Amino acid sequence: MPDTTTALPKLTRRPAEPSVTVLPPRSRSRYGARVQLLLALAVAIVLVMLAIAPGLVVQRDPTAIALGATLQPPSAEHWLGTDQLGRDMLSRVVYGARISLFVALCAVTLAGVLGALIGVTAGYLGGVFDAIAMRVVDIQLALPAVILALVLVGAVGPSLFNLIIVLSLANWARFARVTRSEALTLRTRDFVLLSRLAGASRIRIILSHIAPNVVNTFIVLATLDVGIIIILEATLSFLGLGVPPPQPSWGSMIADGRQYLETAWWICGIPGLMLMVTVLSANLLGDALRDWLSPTASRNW
Amino acid sequence: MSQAFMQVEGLRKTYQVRRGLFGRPKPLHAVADVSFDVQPGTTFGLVGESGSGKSTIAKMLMLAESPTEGTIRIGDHAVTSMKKQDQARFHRELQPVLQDPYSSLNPRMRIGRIIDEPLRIHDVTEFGPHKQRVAELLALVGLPPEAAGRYAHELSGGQRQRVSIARSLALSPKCMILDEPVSALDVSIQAQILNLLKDLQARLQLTYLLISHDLAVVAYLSQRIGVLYLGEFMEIGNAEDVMSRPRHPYTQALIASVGARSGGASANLVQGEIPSPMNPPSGCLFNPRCPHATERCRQEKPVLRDFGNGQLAACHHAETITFRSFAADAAEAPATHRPRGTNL
Amino acid sequence: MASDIILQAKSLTTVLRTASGVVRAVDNISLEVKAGRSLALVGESGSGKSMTCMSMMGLLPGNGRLAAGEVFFKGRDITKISPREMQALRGREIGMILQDAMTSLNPLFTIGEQVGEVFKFHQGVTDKAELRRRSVEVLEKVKIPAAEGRLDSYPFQFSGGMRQRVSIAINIALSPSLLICDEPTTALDVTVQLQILKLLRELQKAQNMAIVFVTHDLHLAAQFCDDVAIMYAGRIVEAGPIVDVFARPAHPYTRGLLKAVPSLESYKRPLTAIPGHQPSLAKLPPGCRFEPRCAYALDVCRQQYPDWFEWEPARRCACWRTADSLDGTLAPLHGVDQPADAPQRVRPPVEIQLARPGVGAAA
Repeated sequence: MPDTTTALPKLTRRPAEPSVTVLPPRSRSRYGARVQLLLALAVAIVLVMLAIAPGLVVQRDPTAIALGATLQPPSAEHWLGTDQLGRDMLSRVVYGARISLFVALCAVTLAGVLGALIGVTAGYLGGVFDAIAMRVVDIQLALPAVILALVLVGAVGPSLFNLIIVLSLANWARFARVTRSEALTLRTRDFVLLSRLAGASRIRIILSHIAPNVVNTFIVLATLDVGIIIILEATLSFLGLGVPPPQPSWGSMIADGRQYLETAWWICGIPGLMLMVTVLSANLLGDALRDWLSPTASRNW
Repeated sequence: MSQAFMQVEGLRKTYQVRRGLFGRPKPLHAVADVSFDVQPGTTFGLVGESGSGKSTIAKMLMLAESPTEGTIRIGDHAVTSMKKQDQARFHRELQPVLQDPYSSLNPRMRIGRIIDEPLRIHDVTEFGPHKQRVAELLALVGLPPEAAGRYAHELSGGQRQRVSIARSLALSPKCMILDEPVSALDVSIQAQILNLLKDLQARLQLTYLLISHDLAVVAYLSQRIGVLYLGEFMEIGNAEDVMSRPRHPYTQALIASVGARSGGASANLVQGEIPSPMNPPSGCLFNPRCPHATERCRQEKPVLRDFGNGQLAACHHAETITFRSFAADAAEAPATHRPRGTNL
Repeated sequence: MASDIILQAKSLTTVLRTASGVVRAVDNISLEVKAGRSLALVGESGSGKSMTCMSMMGLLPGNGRLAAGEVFFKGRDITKISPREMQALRGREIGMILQDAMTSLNPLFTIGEQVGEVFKFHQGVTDKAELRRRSVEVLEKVKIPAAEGRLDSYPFQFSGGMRQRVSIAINIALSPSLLICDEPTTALDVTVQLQILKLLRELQKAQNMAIVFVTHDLHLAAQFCDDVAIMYAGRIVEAGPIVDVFARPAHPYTRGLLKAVPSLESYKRPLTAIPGHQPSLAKLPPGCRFEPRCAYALDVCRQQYPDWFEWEPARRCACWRTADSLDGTLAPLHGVDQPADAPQRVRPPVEIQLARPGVGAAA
């Protein structure tokens, strides 16, 4: 029964306590991260531009031999010096960037698409397909890229195309593993079940539900992978199994410069430095992408 | 007596669980011999705690899992004996709404595409162009038409649940399985969704199967209630009968547990915890915790008996147990009794 | 008596740095709990009730800090003491029971070891037999049957209700003066909830503890607690003795909650939903935070945060229309309000009796 006495009790009134003012955060940590990202992005853009239009920066032919001007230190004429055959280091480095980036991009794309397809399907379908696919993944991960390259190059000879194939074959398993585990998690989510109960076919579910949710991880992985591939390519070229001469490759330049480390350090040093800077910026970019995409992703859930 | 819309007979789901690497598989009876009817346009509420089997029943009715035994009839069709391909048609008749509003929507899809996905899958044109149908459905669940262009993370929990309901209604099903539809929502939002569901049922002549652990929610929406414990029905009946004159001690305990909190009178306090479904008690499943249990309850499993007006209870002593309703003041002699032995 | 105020918070404010900016998760919370009484902190998710407890206990997350206010435990300002002293207090004088007992217990240690740890650290007991004896004693206090035999079990071997009992045992072992319970029964089955609540009440009586009970369940709070503070968007909107608050709610949010929650007694009563949803803590309006959802809001409600209106006994409400609400002249200005069912009058917590069939009068 309601209280029938609706007589108003004596009310005393006092103002509410004021809320503390909040200043927006100084975001010192975010500032640092921002700078990192911008730097990495700047380096990446420069490299890409060099790769696309090297002619804008260098006029000299990277393969032009000039035996009269070998082992020249950096000077006004040759900004980065010349190598043991008198070729201009600057042009070689710039054209080398083009080769490296091109190879890396192709290899990462090929490996990524192949790996993701296998991974997502294995993760979603499970069962026999998953078991077989994962065993193949294990095999790939166990094979060193160098051995693979040796065999392939030994069989069909060195070429750019073979290099890209080798790099892809040595790399797709990483994508498969990660996308598979993403697919496994996604498979249990309610929206997948609801789609199935609405009558969706497995293909439709994989394409419209699983794949779009794996994309974020894929992008981050691919970006981080670029650095790995570049190093791998340099390694193979260093061993003579990669980019065939006379095309410049940072790896082969490092190999060439080994003997001249004390006398003409720039033949080895400059490409090495370029390699380091490129890989570093690729990694930073990948990290920044992950930080950028992940908070959105977690807000999505 | 009008033909029931949904008829479930002898539904059973047994899992074979292997303990350890080399152990022999032991059967786990998640659902044991469950039968009930649902009249068209009404709500049947399944209430139970953990281990009661209610989620398993929901999954079987959604056709997400197949029963070990038993038949399900929906409309005029015996669903369980259909082939997989024909069962796909029944997804048009029957749609689920699930518990978790955060997991039910694809975060990378726009709301409009989420809602019209069933229409695209079945290539349905009878409701007009998809865009129009989506707008209709959004209006039906109380969302503005702009919602179609948004992503799930821009909506609140209650709004996402509305989107789930809209998607389930896209193909104009006759029946909805509601599996804990409001449990994951804030208290002030629950009423919104419950009222929406009630409203939709009246407007669209929907039949609901409502599953919840919350008896108050079930009582609010259902015309008939079934109380589950460890995979079996302890009591079934009309909502009024079950709520005001419960026959089974477990139902009484559920009502008293919560009712007592709202100021209800003394209740028969249930001791112990729900035993593991792997090790069900002998005889009556509830006997180890029942304050009225006798030797007979330990030996002999009671069957569901009719107490009139469609109320069934599975208890040997249902006639002799008196349940004090909330209105009565408690003035009985203090208890002299013993905890029966908890299940650990 | 002022001397038996165990816990007192004065204008406690906590800010959190989140992705959407700096938010005031706890905004000017003032409350007090006396010995032997329990205070319910009622609110929905995001209202700040759990964060209030964490702030009072000095257990803020990394991105949070105490921006203002004091917390007095037995007259001593615990916001100013060192973390070490706070840690000692937390074990000995203050207990905390959290929602998920599985995560409060270490899965790698036996129950006996975890309970015994309390005596080891805070009382310096090293004798193994003595530790076991005391552990059994406290486990029996929380009604765990065959406690001696269970000392060597691991948490995963216990059911949810049992684990919660162990968690309670660990916390009350040293007879603390204050017990903070954060949704201790939410994860448990209904039939077990009542057992745990009954246990807590008995322990409270025996040890004269003050209890802060955080929950979103109004009916639960009504059954178990003496006083209530209703929280919304980081602030307390209404407070007072729980029977009075629920019998004669003043704040529209409290009224709305009472009308929106299904009850078992009148289960067919139409529910009146509160329209809209909670505001984001990062984008709070300058005036009353409930105003966008309030059917009784006036212009002043949007412009200025409401003053406190206080009256006997110990009631307070932050609403411009408190007077109208109390004298029954509160009328909706917009939106549709169902004819106000009398708010459920809640009786004081009753003792639950065990009864045998046939004993006592038939209903």
